[in-house]
Amino acid sequence: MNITRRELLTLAGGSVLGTLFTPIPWKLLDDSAIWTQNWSRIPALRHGPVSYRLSACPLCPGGCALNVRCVQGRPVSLGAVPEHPVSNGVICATAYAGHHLATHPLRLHQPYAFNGKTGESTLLPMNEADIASRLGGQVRKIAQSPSDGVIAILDQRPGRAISAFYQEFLAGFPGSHYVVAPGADDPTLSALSALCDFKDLVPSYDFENARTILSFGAPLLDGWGTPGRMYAALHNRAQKGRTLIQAEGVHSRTALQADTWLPLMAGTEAAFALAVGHVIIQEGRYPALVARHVRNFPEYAELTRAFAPERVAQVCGLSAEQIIATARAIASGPSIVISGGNPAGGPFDTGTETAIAALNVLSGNVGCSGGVLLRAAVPAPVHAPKPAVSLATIPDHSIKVLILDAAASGNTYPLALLTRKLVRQDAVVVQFSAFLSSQSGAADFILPVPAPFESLEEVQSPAGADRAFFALSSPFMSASDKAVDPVAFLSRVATAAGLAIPQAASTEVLLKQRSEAIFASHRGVVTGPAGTRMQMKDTVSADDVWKALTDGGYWIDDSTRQPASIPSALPAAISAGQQAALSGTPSLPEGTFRLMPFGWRGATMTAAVAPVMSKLFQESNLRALGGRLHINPATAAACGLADGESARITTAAGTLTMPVVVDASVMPGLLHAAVGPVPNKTATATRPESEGILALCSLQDDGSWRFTEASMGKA
Amino acid sequence: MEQTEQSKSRYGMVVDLDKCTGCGDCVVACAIENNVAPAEQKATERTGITWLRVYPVTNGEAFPAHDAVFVPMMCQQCGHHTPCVSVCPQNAVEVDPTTGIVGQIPQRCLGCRYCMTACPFHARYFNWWDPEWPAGTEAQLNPDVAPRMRGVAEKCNFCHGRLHAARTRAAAEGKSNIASPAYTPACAESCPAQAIVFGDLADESSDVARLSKAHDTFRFLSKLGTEPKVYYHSAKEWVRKMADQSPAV
Repeated sequence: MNITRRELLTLAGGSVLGTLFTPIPWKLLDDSAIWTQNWSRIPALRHGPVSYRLSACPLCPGGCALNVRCVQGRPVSLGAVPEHPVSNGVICATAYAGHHLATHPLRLHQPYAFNGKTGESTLLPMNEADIASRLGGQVRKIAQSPSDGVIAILDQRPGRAISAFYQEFLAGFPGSHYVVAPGADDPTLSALSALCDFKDLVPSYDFENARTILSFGAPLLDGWGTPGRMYAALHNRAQKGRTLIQAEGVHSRTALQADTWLPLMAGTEAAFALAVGHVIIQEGRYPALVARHVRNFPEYAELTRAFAPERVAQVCGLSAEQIIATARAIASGPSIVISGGNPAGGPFDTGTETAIAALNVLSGNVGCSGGVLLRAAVPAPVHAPKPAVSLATIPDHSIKVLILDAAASGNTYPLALLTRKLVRQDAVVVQFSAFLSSQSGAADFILPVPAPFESLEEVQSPAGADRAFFALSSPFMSASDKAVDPVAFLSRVATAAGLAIPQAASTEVLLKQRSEAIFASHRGVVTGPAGTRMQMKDTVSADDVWKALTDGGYWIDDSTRQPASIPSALPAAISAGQQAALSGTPSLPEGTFRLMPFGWRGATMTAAVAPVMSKLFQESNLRALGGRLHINPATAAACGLADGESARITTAAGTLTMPVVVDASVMPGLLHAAVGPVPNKTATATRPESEGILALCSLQDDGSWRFTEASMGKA
Repeated sequence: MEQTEQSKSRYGMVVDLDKCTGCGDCVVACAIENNVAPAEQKATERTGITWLRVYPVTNGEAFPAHDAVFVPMMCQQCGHHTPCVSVCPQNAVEVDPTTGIVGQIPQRCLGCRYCMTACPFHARYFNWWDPEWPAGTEAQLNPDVAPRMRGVAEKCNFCHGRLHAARTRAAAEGKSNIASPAYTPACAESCPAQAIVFGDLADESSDVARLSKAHDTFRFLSKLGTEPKVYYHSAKEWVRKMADQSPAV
C-alpha cells in the first residue's frame, strides 16, 4: 500500500487534533506548573519559634527604635515601635530592610589590601595582624618624626564612646588630628555655635513649638533628623498653627509638602537671608534685647542695608513681596531658620551658613521655646582630650596615616577632600567598614567591622534633637570571626609601635563605661523594654541600667537646659561670594550651569543599602538612581538633550558622562546630579564603586562643595 | 468595634495623596513582608516586581508652576467583573467572597500573562527570573509567605499572610471575628504620614468607610465599572482630574 504525502499529513494533523481531546497536554501543563513550584531555585523558608526583641537602628544617627521579629533567633522583619518618644512609631525605608545588610553582596568578610591603583585595583586578602604590624611601623615613624606627616582619624559619627577613644589615642601624637566628617554636624547649629557662646551645652531645634520654619533646602520631610519626630512636628501643621516655608531651586519632597515653596535661585541663599535680615531690621521686627545685647548688631544692620528686597529680588528669582512676607513670618513668633545640609551636597559655604544661622539670632529665637534651645550632652566617662577639627582646617599634604571610621552617617562627601590632605608619597589610609563603599577607593587597607545588628552599637541624639538620648543597638546576629573591633585593632597597633598609648579591651567595654557614666550623672530616665521607668536619681544600680539598655531600652535626659542669657553675635561682614551674588553674577556665563549633587540620607554609597531597595531605585523611579542627571526641560532643550540621552558634564575637575532625566521639578540652569545606589549587584564586588559626580565638584577653601560651575553638552 | 468576617467584609483602603511624601517606606515594607526578591541585575521598571509601586505624577506645568503627587498603586481589588479573574484560563485568580480580596494562586498560574494585559491599573507583575536573594538572606525571609517561582504572575493581596495570622490569633482567643486593627497590611502599618487607611468598607462605622465617601475622594478608572476597593483622596483638582487614567500609563 502506498502512503501518499497527503495521507501522512492528514494523519499527523489528526493526531495533533486528537491529542488535544486527551488529558496528555493538559496534564503536562499542570505537571510543569507543579514542577516549577518545587524546583531548587525556590528558597526554603525557615520555620520555628517566633520572638520579638527591641533594639535601635544604627544605620544613621536618627536614633529610631526597632521592633525586631525573629524566627529561630534570626530576624525576619524590622518594624517601628509605636509611641516611642524619639521615633514616634516611624522608621525609614532603609531601616525596613536593614536586617538584609549582613548578607549584602558588598559585605567584607576579611581584611583586604588594595593590589594596584585605585580604580583598576583588586582586593588582596590579608590578615589583621599583618596590617596592625605595618601600621604600627608607620605610627612609630610618625611619633619619632612628626615633620614627615601626621596621623589623623576621621570620624563619621562623632560623639560616640569610640570617638572619645580615638581622641585619647591621638593625644599621644603631636600634631595629630581628630577630624569630624563633613556633614556629621548640623551646619546651621555649627554656624550658630560660632556666633553664640553655648559653653558645654548643645544647641537643638524646638520644632514642636515653632510657629514658622524657614528651611533653605533642608530635607526636613525626607530623612532629616529623626523622621518620626519630623513627621509628628510637621504634619497637620494647620491645626498646630505652624507654617513651613521651603526655599530651594528644586520642587523637592519637602517643598511639595511645604505651606510655601520659594523657588530660590541656587547660589543666592546668602543674599536672600541677608535680605530677610534687612526687612526685619528696617521694619523694626527684632526684639529690643537683640539690639541691646547682641554683638555686632549695628555692623549687621549696616551690612544688610545693601540687601534691599527689591535689589535681591533681581538675582534670587523671587519677588520683593515674597522676601518681605518671609521676613514678617519668621519675625512674627517663635521660628527656626535652618539650612540642614544635603546628604550628598553637604553644607553651603561658611558665609552662607552664617547668614542663615544669623536670622535665628536676629529674630531672638536662640534660647527661646519654638526656636533654638540648648540641651546637655550625653554623659561621657572621660573628657575628650583632643578637640575635633574639620577637614578644611588641616593643611594639604600633611597627613601620613589616615584612619577612616566608616560608621553609617547617611551622608557622603568628595574623596578629594581627604586625598588632598595626604602626603604625596607613602601615605597610608586604613578604613574600618563592614562594606565595600565608594570611600573604600581611597583606602590602602580595609578592615571589616561587624555589620549593623551584629554587634553592640550606640545610638545617640541626632543633630537637632531637643533632649539628650542614648540607646544601644543590640545585636541579633553573630559577627564573623574575622570581624575587627576598631578599639582592639588600634590597641594592637599601639603595641606594635611600642608606644604607651591608652588601650581599651573592646568597644563593648567603652559602651559599658558610658552606661556607667549615665548612671553616675543622676540625670534622666531609663525606660526598659517592658516600659519600666528607672529614674537615674533613684536607687538603681549601674548593672540595671546596662541590662535595660542592652535589652532594647533607652535613656532620655530630663529636659532642656536654658541659661539665663546666651552671649551672641551677628556677622559683621560678608564674603566676596555673597557680594557677587548680589551684584548679579549668579547668572552664569552663557553655556555654563550650576552643578549641585544631591542624595537621600542613608543611600549615598558611603554605606550599603539592602538589595531589596532596588524596588525604589531600579524597579521604579520613585527615588533617583545614582549617576543620573536631573535637568529642567528648558535646560535639556538648550543643550539638545532628550530624556535618557547621555550628557557630558565638564568642570574644572574633569569630565563625566551621565544619562539625563528631564525633570520639571528642577530649576532651569541647575544640574541636579543624583548620588546614590547603582543598579543592584548580586555578585561579590572586587573593587569599590566610583564616587561619580562628586569627583567633579569644586572644593571650596572652607571644605564645601555644594555648587560647581559646569558646562554640559550631548555625549 | 469588632467586625464579623463571615458577614462578608469588604477590605479596602483610602490613600490620602496630599499626605504621601513618596518616602518609599510602604514599598520596602511590602517587599519584605511578602518576600518579593530584589531586582535581578537586568531588571528595569518594566520587568521588576513591586506589588506596591509609588508613581510620581506631575501636573505637567513648567517650573515653577510644577506640582506633583506620589500615587501608591497596588492591586485595586476590583469588586465587579474583576478583569484578571475573567481572563485567567487556569482559575489562578479568585475573589474571596468573605473578604472581597482578589487572591492570586501562583501554583495554578501558567504564566500566560493575560491577567497583566487585562489589568487596567498595571498592578500585576511577572516573574521573569528565579527569585534570588544574596546568599544567606533566605534564612531571613518571612516564613508566612511562600516565594513565587519564575514564570508566574503575582500581585498585592492585602498581605494575605497577615489576614491568616489574624484569623489564627482570633481563633486561639476563641473569637470568630477579627478586630479591625488586628489585620493591617504592611504598607498601611509602615506609612509614616498615615496616608494609607485600611479597613472594612462594609463596616459603616470604620474610618475607611467614612473616608471612602468623603469629599474629594475618588477611584482611578471608575468609568470602567470594576468597582475598585482602593480609594484616593486629594484636595487638588488636577489630581482628581487624572482619575480617568491610570498613573502607570
